[in-house]
Amino acid sequence: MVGSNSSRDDSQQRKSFLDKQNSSKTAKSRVGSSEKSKSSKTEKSTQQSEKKTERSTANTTIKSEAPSKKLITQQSTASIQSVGRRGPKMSDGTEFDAGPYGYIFSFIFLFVLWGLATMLAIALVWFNFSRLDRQYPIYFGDGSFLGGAPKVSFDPNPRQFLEDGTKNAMSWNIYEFSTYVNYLIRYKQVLKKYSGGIGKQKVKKEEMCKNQTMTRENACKFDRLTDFGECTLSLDNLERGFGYSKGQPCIMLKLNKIVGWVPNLSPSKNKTKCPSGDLCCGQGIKFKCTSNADVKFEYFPKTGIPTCYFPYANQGGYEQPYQMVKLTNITVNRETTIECAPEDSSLNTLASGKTNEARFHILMTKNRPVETVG
Amino acid sequence: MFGCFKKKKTNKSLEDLKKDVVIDDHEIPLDALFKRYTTSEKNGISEAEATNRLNRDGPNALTPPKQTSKWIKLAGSIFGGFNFLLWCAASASAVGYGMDLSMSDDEEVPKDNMYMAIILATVVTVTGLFDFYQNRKSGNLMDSFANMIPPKTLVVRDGATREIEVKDLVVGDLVRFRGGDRVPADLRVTLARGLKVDNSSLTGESEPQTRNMNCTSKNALETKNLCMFSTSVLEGSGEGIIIGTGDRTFVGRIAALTTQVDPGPTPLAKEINHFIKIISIVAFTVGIAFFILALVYEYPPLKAIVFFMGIVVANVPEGIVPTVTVSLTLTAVKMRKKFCLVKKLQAVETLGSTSTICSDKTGTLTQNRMTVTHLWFDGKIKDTEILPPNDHFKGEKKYEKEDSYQKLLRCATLCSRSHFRVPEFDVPLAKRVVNGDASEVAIMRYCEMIRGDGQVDEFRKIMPKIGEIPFNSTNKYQLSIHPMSKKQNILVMKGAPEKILKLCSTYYQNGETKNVSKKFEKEFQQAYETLGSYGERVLGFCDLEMSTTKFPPGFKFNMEEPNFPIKNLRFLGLISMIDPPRPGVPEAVRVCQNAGIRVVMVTGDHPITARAIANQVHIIEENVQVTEIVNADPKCDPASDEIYGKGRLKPTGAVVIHGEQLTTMSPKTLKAVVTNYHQIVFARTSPAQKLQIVEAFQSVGNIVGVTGDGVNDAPALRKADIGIAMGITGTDVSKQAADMILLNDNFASIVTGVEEGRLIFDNLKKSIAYTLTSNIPEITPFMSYVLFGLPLPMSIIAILMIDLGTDLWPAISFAYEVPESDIMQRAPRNPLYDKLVNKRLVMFSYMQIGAIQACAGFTTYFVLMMSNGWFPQDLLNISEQWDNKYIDDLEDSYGQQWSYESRKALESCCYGTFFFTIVVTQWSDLFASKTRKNSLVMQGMENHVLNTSVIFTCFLAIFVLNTPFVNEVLGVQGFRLEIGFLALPFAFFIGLYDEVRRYFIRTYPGGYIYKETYY
Repeated sequence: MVGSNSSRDDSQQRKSFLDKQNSSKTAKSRVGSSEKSKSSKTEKSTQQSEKKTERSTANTTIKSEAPSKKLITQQSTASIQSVGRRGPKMSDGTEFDAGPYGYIFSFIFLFVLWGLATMLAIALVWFNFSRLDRQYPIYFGDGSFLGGAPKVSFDPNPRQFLEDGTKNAMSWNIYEFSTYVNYLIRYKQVLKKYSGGIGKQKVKKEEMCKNQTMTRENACKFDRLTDFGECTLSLDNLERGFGYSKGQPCIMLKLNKIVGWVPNLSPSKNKTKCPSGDLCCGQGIKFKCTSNADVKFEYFPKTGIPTCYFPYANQGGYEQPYQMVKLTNITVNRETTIECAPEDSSLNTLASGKTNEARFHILMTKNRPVETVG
Repeated sequence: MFGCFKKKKTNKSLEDLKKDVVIDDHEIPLDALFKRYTTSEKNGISEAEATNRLNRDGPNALTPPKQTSKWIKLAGSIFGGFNFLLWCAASASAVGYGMDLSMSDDEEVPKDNMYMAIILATVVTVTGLFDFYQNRKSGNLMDSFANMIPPKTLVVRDGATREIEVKDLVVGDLVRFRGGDRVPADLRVTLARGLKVDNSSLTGESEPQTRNMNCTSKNALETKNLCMFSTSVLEGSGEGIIIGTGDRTFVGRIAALTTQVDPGPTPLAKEINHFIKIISIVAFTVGIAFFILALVYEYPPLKAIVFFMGIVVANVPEGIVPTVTVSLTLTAVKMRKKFCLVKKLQAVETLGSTSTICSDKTGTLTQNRMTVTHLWFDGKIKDTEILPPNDHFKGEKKYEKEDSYQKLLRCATLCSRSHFRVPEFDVPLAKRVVNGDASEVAIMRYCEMIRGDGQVDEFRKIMPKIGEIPFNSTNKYQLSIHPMSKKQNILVMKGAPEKILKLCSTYYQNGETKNVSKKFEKEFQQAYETLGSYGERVLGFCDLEMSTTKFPPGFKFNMEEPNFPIKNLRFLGLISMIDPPRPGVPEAVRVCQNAGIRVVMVTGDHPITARAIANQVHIIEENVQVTEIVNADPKCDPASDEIYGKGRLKPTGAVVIHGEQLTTMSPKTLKAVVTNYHQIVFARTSPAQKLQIVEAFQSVGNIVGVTGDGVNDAPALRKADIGIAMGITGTDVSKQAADMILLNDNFASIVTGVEEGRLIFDNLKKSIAYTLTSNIPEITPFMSYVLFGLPLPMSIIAILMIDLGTDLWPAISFAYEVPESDIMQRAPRNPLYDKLVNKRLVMFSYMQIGAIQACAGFTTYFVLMMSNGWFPQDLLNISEQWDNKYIDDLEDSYGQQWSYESRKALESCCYGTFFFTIVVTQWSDLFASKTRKNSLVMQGMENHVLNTSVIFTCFLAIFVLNTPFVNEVLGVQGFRLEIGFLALPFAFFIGLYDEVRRYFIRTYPGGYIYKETYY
């Protein structure tokens, strides 16, 4: 109880002390009521308070003395100065506003630019196009991507028809015409490229290659009716199944056409006497085929592709020579891989180093269709 | 009532933390405090009780801020951003290769897809690791700042004094501390012997604060009977009862506020994310469209996947991520040389986007050193010699010959309690250690500067101090008595000017001693007010040459009850001092303003001082009307919303706002202030108010940079778009919360950061413009393949060779590009409109330069095909047969028959040709993208990294195309040079077009070309 009273008395005394200080300050420096909480600050605070008071008084005096017009003028001046010192303003994107029809000019601008670029492109392409020879590309033969050795290819190529599956295989049933009709169609397409292939076509005046030397401008006819035996490419043979119906198909083997390429065969030991004037006589480009089964091969003509049909020079009416190979003794219901490659050493290897061969697969079946009684 | 404990707050919300702390531990009597915390003034608490409280409240340590796991950061670097798209492409490649394997059991499978998957995965991983390494390297710099708590302290428990770890302190503990210590926790002073603390780290007050047992303010930061955690004890010694530990201290609340305030992504991060979104949308949209289109055209699913993959890979600018990283890292290195330590790499670009800088005053704009600046004697205010901050004074002494000056200087030299700690004359005077308070230190340095090294001590030896009455708040002066000669003594006095004048009856002027008159008093008052308006602290000086008869040598002066006259003294003059601006700061502020950046002062100092400094450093221009919101205005209701131009918010250009008024100001009013005023000073602000100010600026669309050095600045530093801490005087908490540290504490260094930040943005734009260009020539081959059936002119691996090979170094080299001439005259970037990638940049890169490059590519493609026998018209719709590997007799325009292998060999040459064409046209684009507005001639060729990249690219292209094994793996082949030369006309066309375009941009700003093409 006594302690409590003592504490209260101390508190009252402190309040009195503060009040006294406050009174003193008010009397001397006319500090406002907001300064009560700072009345006990150190010398610095007192100085600052006095400065504030004096400053406030001075400002008040100045303002009260100044005419209103001068005040307005000063404010305007301050505003102008303030605006001038702000520096560049932050962009709000309006300087790029091209208006509601701005996109039209954008398109025009783009079209003009694209037009110029396209014209430059077309000019360069046309310039290079005009420099091209009609018969020879700029790069061909050895050293070019086409290479110096023609690739062996065969027909009918089943992939020409984009059949299902990824394998390069010919499969057919000898008793069903529909299974090998595509191959016959392909042969018909090939036949169109040869004169006299279709009955209605008018026979050209060109002579056979054995009677006329092939030149750069003129081509000669390929003799597709001599020495081909049962594999003669003709409409009659195609109507008869061209060997597929008997299980002994004929496969066309040929070399890719390369401008300017001339075969350089090794000299043959067996020289055949040729009648004078027969330019296609002699040993030609022969193919040799192998298989992973006991398939027999019969070649037509036996002397291979004569060399009188080269070089190819993009002559009009050129007929590509070929050699036929007849496949016999084909095992039924077995997929057989057959590889055919030229015999001559100059054609064995391609420029890429790989073996120059044509590879394909055959799958022959003999399934008689079930006949309905009645 | 008594003895109750404060309830422990849980789940503190952000709003609660923003409010200032309201406590009464400093207002209640000591007895009540002892009862509240169950402690004793002499014995402290028991050890057992301390253990209980430690278990209840936790250790006296700050909770460390949460940090992202480095593994998460690593994963983000490798799989985030554009890398996600590339991982999709790599997966698609792997799937494609797997499909190839499954469909072709016997035959050889092309390994292109396998190579591509490996290349993509490798490059993405390397890029991600590089990015992670760079960011981690910068982040490790803060490890040395981790520990900021004083290790040990003296505590009284069970009546015994012992030294314990600071972290083991609890509330109620009685601790002892002395000069040189750091305050171990928030405590109330129970005993003080000349105790002074340095609160500048907490409140920004640069002057030492006296601490005693009296409650002098309701504000806990202002009252003298509290000491705050982590502040420094400068002088004296004391004891106190702990009232808060750990996170419950003022510093702890600020730290918690710091960790809870989300800084958000930097503007650059926002731009990068925006860019990634755009490109991802484009890539997937186009990719999916072509995927569907390929299926419609009955391509096999494998081909469709290849199309999708090609489109995605072509669209991804792989070079942008390393360009950003290298650019930021390079800038950080450059800024490190200019005393800017960049903690967060992306913050550099943020500084370039800054439109407002809220700068602290003490130590940042000023030197944090009181310096004598003006003198008043002989009836005139005179400027003093400037003390060099980093050098010895070598200038002319202006007033050495004047008698009045000599007497004033004598008085200032003698009437002082400060002294140099040790003679260190090789150290610049401004940096020598001087004991004493700020005012006396300033006068001491000035006297030493005028008299010469060591001469002050010599002068004092001639006139040693006989007696002294120190300064106190009652007298408001200090005086000392010295022997002037063998027969006569002199009394010197200094103190508050008005107090000094009252004690004087005469004054010394122009060599004569005159009686004080009303005229002199008027002059004095005018001078006093003038110096005060400078915001300077003013001291008056006077002396008295004592009578030889009354006070002979050997007279015993009684200092407790003066037995000598303290009246009728002779007034000598005034000396004023201020913490001066740092050299270079006024120019730096001017540069910022010319760059469209508003510099705002936010300080805890007095409004008058703040305004004076603001005038000196051009934050507030001279002769500009200033609106002062310092005192409460009864006419206005502070809680209501105020409008600019009415009431207190006068239509002037400048404003000074006191923190107390800011407390009662409504948010809308504050927003009106920050929107309309452009020369702003906030004085007497608290930590939460600084954060409030930052948020106000940000709410009106500003990119805000904040400087600070104290713990109280940490929340604002973290909230700001870029926080800039002081490296020398800054506390560890502020350094931890900041993104950048000024190692020299100089505001001028920020200007370097602004320029570098703008340069980063510029260079990134150029790099993106360059990188995006090649996307079109990379995509159009696939479009032609699908739409027109052309053989594929370009492979995906060739695209990767461009994006990851030949384009990478040039794209990164833009980081080394020198600034354009107008970089610091532009306005700050508006993040809403001035995007890193805008419509015009996309149109420029894709539809203009990219289209030209595509024309170039197809030109060389067709010419190459023609040269080998394939005419353009024969190439249409041939891709189906071209890619059939079982067709070995495909005929060209000359009737030649091509095998599959020979066709693919030619196609690989097309890849190489197209690749080389893009490389050549990208050279032209590289030089065209060096500037956005200036001509190439104006910009110059100083970027040697860029020049070298052209040479490197050339050799890389040749190497890739012609090296046997490399070109086989990459699926390209060499070509003849005459076809490659076909790209040169298009390269020239690109350069010419861009130069003409820039000419029109410069000549007709705001014109059609500017609106169409300026990016």
